[in-house]
Parts: sequence; structure tokens; C-alpha cells
Amino acid sequence: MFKLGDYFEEALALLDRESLCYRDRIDLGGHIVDLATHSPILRAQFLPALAHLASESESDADLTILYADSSGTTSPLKAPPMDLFNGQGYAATIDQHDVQIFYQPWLRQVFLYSRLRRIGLYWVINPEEVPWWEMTFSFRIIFHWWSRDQDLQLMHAGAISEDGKHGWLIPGPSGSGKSTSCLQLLLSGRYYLGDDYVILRTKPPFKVHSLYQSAKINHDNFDERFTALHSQLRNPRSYRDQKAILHIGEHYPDRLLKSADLVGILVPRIASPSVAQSTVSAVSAAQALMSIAPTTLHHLPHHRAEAFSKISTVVNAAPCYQWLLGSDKHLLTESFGRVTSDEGRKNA
Amino acid sequence: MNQQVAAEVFEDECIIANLDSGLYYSVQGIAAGLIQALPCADPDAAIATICASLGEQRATAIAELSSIWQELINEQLVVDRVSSNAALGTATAAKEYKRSELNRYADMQDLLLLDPIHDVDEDGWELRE
Repeated sequence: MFKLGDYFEEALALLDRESLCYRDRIDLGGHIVDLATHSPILRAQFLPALAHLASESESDADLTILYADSSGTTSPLKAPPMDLFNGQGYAATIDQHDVQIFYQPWLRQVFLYSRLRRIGLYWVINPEEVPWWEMTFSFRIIFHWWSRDQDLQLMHAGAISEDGKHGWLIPGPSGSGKSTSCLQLLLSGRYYLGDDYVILRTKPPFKVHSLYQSAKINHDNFDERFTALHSQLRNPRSYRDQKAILHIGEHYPDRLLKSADLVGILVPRIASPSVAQSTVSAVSAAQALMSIAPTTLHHLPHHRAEAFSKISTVVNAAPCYQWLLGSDKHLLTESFGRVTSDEGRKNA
Repeated sequence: MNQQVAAEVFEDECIIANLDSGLYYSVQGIAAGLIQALPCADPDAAIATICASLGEQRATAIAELSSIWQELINEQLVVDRVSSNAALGTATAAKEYKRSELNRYADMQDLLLLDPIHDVDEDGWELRE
């Protein structure tokens, strides 16, 4: 019978035998996270999305992430029994109270986390097999597991600030317009915290923290709206098979913000192509919850009840708006300016 | 409420999530009061209490809430038997009639089934061609 705790210890013991000589430290909204690997290839794949959070703090780490691949280690990790897992990478039949596991067999990689030790592990068979999307939201599932015991929640959302201090959450599933609007707002001079996943502080004072600096845009959208940024692409040869990926801190370091006070939620929706104007209208907290919770929890099958409760707390506390995105990019950024100044006046 | 279900009640709307399946529901109108009354040992009594002050619309409201209660059971969001040691919720009388609706959203329904994979290497990892 498969015992998850034993499997975690086995993976940790294998990693202990390796020289995890590539060590990095990031500051995630005041929480220190240590990352260590034996592999310069894996480090080059996973670290850039987090590089803007690099820290030299000497505080104890709140979370440690160890990552490795079988091709570069002396003893490879065995796979967990695949028949325990569903298509979400979740195994409902094994106790995951302390140790959690996320495993989608066809990707030949496994994520593990011990709540007690606050150690996350990532193991992939071969660094060449790391899916391109994993590199854009490095260790996403481990951050989600860790946030369970913090006043934090990983959110499938972008975040933008008008003034470098007050942040707006822009949640939504792929195709809702959140990445396009975040990049458009960055180019119009606003501050960027993320366009796909950010971390929210879910108790007062509510805050939004940047997690990844990797902006991702569907290739057809990129070709239509952002061709001027072609020289900034991380993947100029493969973006049409993946998504167009840019690392914001490399090109707009002064506009990449690490944290902001959360002032509101803008739920984007793409208007009909014939509509040029972008408009903002108030929505209820219930409507905002319906726009945020399903897309955030869809890819994160663990401790959903706690995450649902945290998201509910935030939508109850913050003003929520629907943002109907018209086709004119100048009118789009103007509409953002209007809602932020209106909300600023209310709070003044 | 079933264990895999979470609910958040707002003023006159409630969002219910089946956290296993990824199915979401919104409950609108006075039926949100029915969710607030959970766990509920006697749903008929709870419905009667919620509708007690609705005058001419009382019968309509009772019929709507009874129908929604049955839908909640059919969708396996609530169980019709409450354990004896559960702390029961409290039903309160609605101040005005607001039409009740239960909407179901399946756009984010999780794909739970995994295609069987049989070809694995000696360490149990799926074989690549």
C-alpha cells in the first residue's frame, strides 16, 4: 500500500544525497522562500519567472523548495502509483493532510509538499521534458499548498496599479482578456504585478503580491496587438506553438511592482468586436466570486474549501466591477484610469 | 450540506461550489435563506418559517423553495438526513418576496477521469516513444 509520508521521505533522502549547490532566495510579500537544486538547467528554467523577487534577507526561510531531475542525480525517484490519481493530478484515496502530492503521469514530473516541514519538492525525469508553461508559473502548486497555512491565497488573476501603491486584481480564465489588458496597461505607464497568478493577503490589510514576472499572451493576440514587442519575447521561435512570453522585469524594471494595497477587483470580459469603448460597472460580491473562484480552483485540486473561503473574504471586502473590454486600446486604458480615480476619490 | 460542498451566502444570493466536481451554483432570491438555514432537520418547517410573512405570495414562495430544495438534493449539494450531533442552522422569515432560482454552471467542471496508461519503465514512469 502506497504511503505518501514515506514517499516524501524517500524523495527528500534522495535529494539529501545530492549537492544542491544552486541556491536562491526570494521575498514573497515579506515571506522568505529558499530554492535549491543540483541542476543549472532546471535553475535556468524555473528561476527567471521569480527573479524579480530575489532577496538577500538573512531571516529564516518560511518555505523551502528543492527541485531535481533524474538525469542529473545518482539515484532516480520512483513514480507514485498512477492509478491513484485523477485527471487533475489529485489522489483522493490517500491521506494528504500533512504531505500533499500532485502528479499527472503523462508529464513525468511530481510535486510534493510537507505542511509540517514547509518543504516543497519537485522532481522531473528529464529537464528537457519540463512543460513550457511550468516555467512561466514556477512551483505554482507548491505555493498554493504553502499558502493554506498563511493569510495568503494564490489567485488566477493579474494585478495592476495606477500609482505604484494601490493595486487592482484582474481575475479570469484564459481568454477573458486579463493578460491583454494587463500588458496594455503596463505599456500605458501603469505598474505591473502579474498577469496570470498573483498572491493575495486575505486578511486586513488586504494586499496583492507579485509572484511571476512572466507575461503570457496568446500568439494571435500578440501578433495583432503587440508586434512592437517582438524583440522582447523569451520564445521568439516557439511562441506560435506556446504563448508569447515576456519577462516584464527585464524590459520595464521600474514598472514591475512587488506589492500593493488591494483596492478593488475588475472582472474583465471581452466585448463584441464592434464595440470600441470599454466600460466599467459595479457587480455584486456573489458575481465576483463566481468569476474568481472557479478559475482559480480549477487547476488547484487541494484544500479547495479553505481557498474558497479565503476568496469569499476578499470579494466581500473589496469593491467589485465588471470591466467590459472594447477593441480600442486607448479607450481601454482610459476606462481603467477612470475607475481607479473614482475609487481613489471615494477612499480619500 | 455535503462534505465536498462549500457555500457563501451574500445578501440575497448564495454561491455553492461542489469542490470535487468543479460544478458551481448560484441561488438567488429568498432561497438564499434556505442555505443559511442549513444544516436543516426539517426542511418543510424551515421553508414555512422563511415564507411566513409573505402574504399573498406565500404559496408561490413555498412552492419555489420546495422545488429548489429537491434540486439541491438531486444535485447532491445537501443531504436529506442530518446527523444527530450537527449544530442546526436557523431559518428566518423573509421580509419581502424575491423570486428564487438555482443556476448551475459547468464551465469549469473538472475532468476527473484519467486515461489508463499501461506502458511504464522500471521506476513506474510513463514510457515515452
